[in-house]
Amino acid sequence: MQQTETVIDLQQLRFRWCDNQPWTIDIDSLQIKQGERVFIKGPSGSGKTTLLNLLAGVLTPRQGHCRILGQQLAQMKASQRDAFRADHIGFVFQQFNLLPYLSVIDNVTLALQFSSRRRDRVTHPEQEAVRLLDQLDMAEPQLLAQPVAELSVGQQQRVAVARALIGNPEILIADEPTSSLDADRREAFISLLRQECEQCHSTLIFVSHDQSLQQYFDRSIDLREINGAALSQSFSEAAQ
Amino acid sequence: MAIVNLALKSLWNRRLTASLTLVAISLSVVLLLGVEKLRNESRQSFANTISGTDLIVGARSGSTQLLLYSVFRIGNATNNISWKSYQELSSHSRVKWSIPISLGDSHRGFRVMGTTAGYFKYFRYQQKRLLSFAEGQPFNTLYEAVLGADVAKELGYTLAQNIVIGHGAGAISLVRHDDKPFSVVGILNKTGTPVDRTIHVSLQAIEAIHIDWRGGTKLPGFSISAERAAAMQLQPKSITAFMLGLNSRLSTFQVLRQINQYKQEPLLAIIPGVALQELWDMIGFAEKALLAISVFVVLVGLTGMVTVILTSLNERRREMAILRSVGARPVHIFGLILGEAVTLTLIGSGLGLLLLYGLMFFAQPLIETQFGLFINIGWPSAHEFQLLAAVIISGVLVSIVPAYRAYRYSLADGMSIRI
Repeated sequence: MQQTETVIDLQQLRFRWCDNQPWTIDIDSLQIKQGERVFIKGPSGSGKTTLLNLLAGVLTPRQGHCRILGQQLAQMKASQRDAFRADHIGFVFQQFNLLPYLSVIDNVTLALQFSSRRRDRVTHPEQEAVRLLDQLDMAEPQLLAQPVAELSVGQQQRVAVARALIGNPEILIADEPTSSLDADRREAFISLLRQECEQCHSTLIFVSHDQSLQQYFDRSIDLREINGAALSQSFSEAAQ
Repeated sequence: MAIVNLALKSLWNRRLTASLTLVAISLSVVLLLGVEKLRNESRQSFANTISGTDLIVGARSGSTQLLLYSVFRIGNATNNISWKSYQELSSHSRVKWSIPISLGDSHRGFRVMGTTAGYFKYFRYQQKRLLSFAEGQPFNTLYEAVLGADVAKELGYTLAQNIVIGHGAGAISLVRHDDKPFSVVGILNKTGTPVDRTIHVSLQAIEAIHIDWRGGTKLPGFSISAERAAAMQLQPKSITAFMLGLNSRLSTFQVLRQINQYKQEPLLAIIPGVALQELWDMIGFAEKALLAISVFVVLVGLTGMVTVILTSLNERRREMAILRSVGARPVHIFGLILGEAVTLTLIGSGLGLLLLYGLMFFAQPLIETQFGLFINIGWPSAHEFQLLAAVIISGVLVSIVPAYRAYRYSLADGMSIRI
């Protein structure tokens, strides 16, 4: 078996917004290896959004380590974290991933604008965008010519995947990317996503509250189980 | 560079509100620069009405009044000054030249001024320019008149035209000197000063048309024909005012004091430049108020822009979150909003400048004929560029408000998309 390295390494990770508040995130340990396709089950209130912002370097932990690709995010300056995110992580959100005033192609190449590393990996940005879109079944000329607001939600999500993957970032984080899709489209979208990540050798982190999707992934993590804070929070909510 | 490109595309996406903002900014710039231009040109043209004259002398009254009737032909003198005093003062050793003027009559609303041939030789306006003739020559014999450019143009008079001078200064004269008609012998070039609206005749002619008058009315049953009057040795007994040119400007104050202390008659001498400045200070507050108003209009325009951007921020929080997710820093978001506002201000100012020049190009002849104000269409002056720079700098400064707000949003929201 191929030697795999740890892409994401969380140790005693704790975060809260204000000093006198309870922890929002309290994770003892979490490792994700390169090339893994991980399903993180996270209903609302489980600290999902906060965790994603921590992984992206938008927030920094109060305690513990958050090591991404061997780098301590907390030790970087905010601008370095932004550059790190641009270089190594692609994002797909629930919906409205696209800038309405950019064309389909420009929306895909937008990810290269803020990362010289990803830009250098792509010699012809437009051709690469079309190639990725083609693999996602989105390269028909009339689709490319359409204003992005006129694309269907599923089409928009596929454009977002192309943007997240262009320039081969090591990690792809998808936050509820299928929740606005029909059930039968959901499966197709996930298999596309898996397939693309495999080709790009990217680690896929798929976050959703929908437990039925976990069957498509190598590994499934329940955020409520690993996040002590979510547990105590839901207890305190239940007690009230 | 990427962020500029994004700012432009984002702006283009909201082109309707953006263009309305542009209209507001460019119109306010037109107003500001237009008012400034008019202010400058009118001040300039005001200061240009008389030049090279060291002193103006009239009967003792106020300096503004003397300036108004002697230079601007507005209002009337309270009193005349005697010909004897004029002769004595004009032969003063320090006096180089003198121009006597006699006012009080008019022709169809235009003032008639009695003077001497010296007027055409010594009177200067606009940085020492002499009067010049478009047609004809100075008056030579008694019943000859020289017209200012506007008089000829508005009344359609040409050389050899006969005109009758009315008594008094009203537009419609009930009593007219119709027994002694004048013939037009010269028409002056346009000067942009009250000279354009004046009919010039000799002092003797003024004397001749009043020879059979006493106390402001014609003597009943007594008249002296034009021919007889011409044959008489006419000598004015009094004049309205006179202008003096001195050998040396250094002696201006000395001569001024001597005239003001003149024993034989109460006289007043004024320095035209000083009196013009005083008068401008008096009426100039209006132009300052106008400038203040246009400054406020610019502020309203810029405030409108900030309002439009601020209201758009809420719906653009999603856009910011997307940009943050692809690695844009909060500083980029700040730059995006600032860049948008700066672009609007720059384009608005540029459009305003273009519009102003377009307007000036079309309005210039109109303003000149209607108000006698010649607008010089040249490159924008350094001062206008300063004003424009002030507009742009204010635009940038007020844009910091929405830009900073967007910056705070993007820090607080991170990548979470709020709708």
